[in-house]
Amino acid sequence: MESWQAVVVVPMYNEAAVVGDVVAGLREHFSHVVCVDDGSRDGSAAAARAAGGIVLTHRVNLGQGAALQTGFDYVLSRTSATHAVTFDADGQYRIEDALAMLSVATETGVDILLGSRNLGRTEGQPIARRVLMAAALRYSRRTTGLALTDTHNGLRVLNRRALAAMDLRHRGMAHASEIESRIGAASLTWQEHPVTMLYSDYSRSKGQSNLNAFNIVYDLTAARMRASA
Amino acid sequence: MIIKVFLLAGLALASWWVLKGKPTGGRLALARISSLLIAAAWIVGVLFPDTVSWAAHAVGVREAPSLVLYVLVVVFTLSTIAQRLRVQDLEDKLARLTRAHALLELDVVENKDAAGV
Repeated sequence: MESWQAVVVVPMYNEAAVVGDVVAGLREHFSHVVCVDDGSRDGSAAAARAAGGIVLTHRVNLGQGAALQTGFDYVLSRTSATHAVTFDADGQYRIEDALAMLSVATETGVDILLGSRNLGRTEGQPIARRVLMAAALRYSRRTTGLALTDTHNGLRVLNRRALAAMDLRHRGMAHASEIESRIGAASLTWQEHPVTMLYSDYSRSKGQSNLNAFNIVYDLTAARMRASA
Repeated sequence: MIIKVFLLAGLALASWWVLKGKPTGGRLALARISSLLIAAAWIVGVLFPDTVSWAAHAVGVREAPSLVLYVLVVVFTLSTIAQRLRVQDLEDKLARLTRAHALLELDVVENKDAAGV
């Protein structure tokens, strides 16, 4: 019997091809999987529901940050779970990593545990993406002041204190940087944990464009200018 | 020289003012007064073209059309920033509404299921 009560939060957008298998796999280990359908136009919601997930539906597409925040709000307001696990819908992460991270988070009492592909390993990552992630990591380390080894990794474990500290304003992919920023701003304790990231043909074709990195930097910079004005 | 200081400082000051906070009644009134003043200046410029030349020379600009262009660039930039912030504010409201709707919709479905409806 585990000492944690966890809800897995799976943001999804047009993931009907894979989300059923992902949720079914998660449901073998987690009794509570909530999928936030971010305005999908395919059968993602039906597939997730059929696999045993609870589905929250955004009627319009807002972005992954907004989907995660909806999931966090759900965990805090509708459950008594001790932890939330964020898990991508495209099958890039391994469930055993999520389970190991939950054990570590419970044993150590750390507020937020971040998955790190650089402490673990990556399979099938394109070279361009590897170069881009290295640059993103330098940017994150500089802007957050945290000695991170990876950034924008979608596998995380947050306790209720960390969930309450999150108020993600960036609805798009910049939310990952915002989560890291909140660690310092809210004085959350944090650690990293090695994980394996599996890039499949599906995730490579479905994943965000490398050019989106510019949008992330633009959004973060604009938000900083607005905050400091 | 006067026009350079005026344009750069004015643009920086106005951008800061536009960026610095949420819209309030006072800020909206100032924006509307500015719009009316610009419209009035435009009317005066059309009716009395010499006044534009006079104003241009007074601030160190050689030709009147150049002054008009400078002023239009400043107005366009500020208008773009203000509209972008307005759209962003609306997007934030839409996001909050959509997220609240998602949670309430689930409550409704669960209540219906519990009631056997």
